[in-house]
Amino acid sequence: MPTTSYSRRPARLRTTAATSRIGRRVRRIPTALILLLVAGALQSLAWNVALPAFQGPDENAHFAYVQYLAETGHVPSATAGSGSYSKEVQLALSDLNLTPLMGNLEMKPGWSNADLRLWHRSERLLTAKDRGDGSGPNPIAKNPPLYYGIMAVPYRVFIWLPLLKRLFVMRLCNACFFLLTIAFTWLLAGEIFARSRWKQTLATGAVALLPQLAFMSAVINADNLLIALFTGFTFAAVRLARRGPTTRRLLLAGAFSAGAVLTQGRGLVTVPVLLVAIGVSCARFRPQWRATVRDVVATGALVVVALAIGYLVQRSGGGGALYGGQASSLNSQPFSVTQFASFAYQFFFPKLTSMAPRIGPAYGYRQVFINTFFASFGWLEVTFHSWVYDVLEVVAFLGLLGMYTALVARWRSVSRAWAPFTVLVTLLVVQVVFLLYVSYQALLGDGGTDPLIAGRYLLPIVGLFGLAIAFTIGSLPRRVGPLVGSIVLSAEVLLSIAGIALTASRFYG
Amino acid sequence: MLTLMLIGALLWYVPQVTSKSQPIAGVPASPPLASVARYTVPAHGRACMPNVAVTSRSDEVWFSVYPKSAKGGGSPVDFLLTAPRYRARAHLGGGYPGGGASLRITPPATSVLATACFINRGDRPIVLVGSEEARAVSRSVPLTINGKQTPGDISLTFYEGRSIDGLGLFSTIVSRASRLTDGLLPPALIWVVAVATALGVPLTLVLAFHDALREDERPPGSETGD
Repeated sequence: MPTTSYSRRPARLRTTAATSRIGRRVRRIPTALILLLVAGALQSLAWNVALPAFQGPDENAHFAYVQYLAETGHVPSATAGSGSYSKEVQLALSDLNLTPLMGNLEMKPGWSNADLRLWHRSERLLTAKDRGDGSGPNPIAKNPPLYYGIMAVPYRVFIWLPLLKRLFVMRLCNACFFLLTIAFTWLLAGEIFARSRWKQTLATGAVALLPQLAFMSAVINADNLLIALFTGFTFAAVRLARRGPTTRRLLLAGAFSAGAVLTQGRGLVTVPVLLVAIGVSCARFRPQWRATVRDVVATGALVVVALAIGYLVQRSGGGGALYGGQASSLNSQPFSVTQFASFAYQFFFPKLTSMAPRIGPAYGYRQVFINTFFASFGWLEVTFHSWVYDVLEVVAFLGLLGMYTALVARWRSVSRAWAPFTVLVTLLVVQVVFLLYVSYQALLGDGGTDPLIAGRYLLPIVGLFGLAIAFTIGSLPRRVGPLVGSIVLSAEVLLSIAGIALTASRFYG
Repeated sequence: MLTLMLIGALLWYVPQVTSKSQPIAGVPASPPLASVARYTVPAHGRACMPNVAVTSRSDEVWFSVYPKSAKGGGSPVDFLLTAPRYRARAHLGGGYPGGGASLRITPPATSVLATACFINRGDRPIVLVGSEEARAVSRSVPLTINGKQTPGDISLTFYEGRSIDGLGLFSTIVSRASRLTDGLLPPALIWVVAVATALGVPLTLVLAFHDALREDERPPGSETGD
């Protein structure tokens, strides 16, 4: 019929055009980025194999949130409910000795065929109801629902798989956030280093090979999405500051910020940085004010809507406040500027004679910026020999010294790029101060036992880590820079593979 | 760059891979984490735990035992494993001062879930070390002492009777990892993943860096877009 042939042809043409457009875009992806993504995917897969179920930080609780949301359509409660985990998860944790394995170096999982037979016997008795009864209390239920909503999709798609297989496949999907982080770092480095491909590759490679980041990609944990969104946000904010405030750039930065806010409480850090990026961009480009005000309001609305959604979803799950009251509890303890300043100082440097002793355990720069930022796996119990961290600390110190020297030596060109530089420095300062403040409040609240921060909380600003390495090494003479860059990347490769092997032998050896 | 990685791997990995150790065959109940639980088994009494996995490579059993009082040393202890079509017994002679005990056992032909019992053969009570912490207690509960249920479990580890290097252990690691994916990744595929990671990650990185350097050397007009 003529009508049919008339309607089919344009549709086919449209499909062909879209396919060829996608094909063109894929062909335009630089080879170096594709190779780095392959390296990231390989690492994530290897980590997935090396790490038994629920042996990443809080993986059991994050999985329980995803499972309850996917099974019932509701978020679990942080304070009440019939059980933290579903009967299915509870049985797996028990039958395979996965609970006593958490954080306990002396323990091994149930790895024999007899263990598996026991688990299969339990699994056969489970019904669909036994997957959806983990209503809480789940401490992770304080998190807003974006990550869990996304992960509920692969959960539902692979619901027919037995638990261990389902978790493995979900972890593979989770690895996409790691690959996005690599891709966003590439774009961010492209903004900063313009056409210098080797610096862009160095910055991205340094991120793709960071053992802690690759490890986290194989753990069901909302941090993965937060890291990807933060890195995307950093790119969008730098682009905004560098190129000026258009509707698209503003909304892109706002969307990343809204996404981060809807993922984890730490996503709030993006909000002041977004304001600074907008301010810097407007100050530099002096755009037409009426259109800009409209775009800025729309951008702000994105963040406000994200906060409202987070609040409403959590209220529906029985949590009365945003982030389960975490945000408001940040100010619940009496705050002393002097004490906080002393706390922050002693986090990085040895105590001065005039200072009161720091509250909490001896936990500072070394533990957060070195040990748990580079390589602490499992439930933080899997670590390298201490000489590795000593070397990392010395190299990090030399790197910081080098970066300072490079900043001074290249101050003229850095000051010309003051807009993106301001955004990056703001992000670093706000993130670090925020983490220190949360730690300070937590220590005041619990009598100084749990400092609450680990190096993986710095991973959202991992893009800055890549940029700092590429900037410092990129400031060396052209003949030396790539050589030093290749040494740094080689060391990261060794560290990354050693981390996977160490973890596999801890759990299975 | 590959040379750098090779030198680094030789210096760092080779000593780790070639050093020999006695592999663990299984840990049914881990040593305590923060607080130690002490279980007293009276004279001629017994303490038993169910669901203890014993594999075909469980050649030695390790546990901690002390005499209840310092006087005269510990009573003799029998360690007994029973499962359908499997029974193994090991004996610890009396007079020991207390500490870790390692005994040879006959492993089953294939892995089984057994009941492990510590039988006090002496006239004086003994103390077995374990854990009562909720997060450290294994599935081998309830622990019973003379038939009476007691919270917690007794720490128990099985070792293989041989010493092997890291390379020799690798195939065991692969098959255990495969089981913990519930067979989703068969051992052969895990070998492929391991080799692909060990060779692929360094290689892709070298190629990426090389490609980037080459692109920077191209004249500006011949650049490809990104």
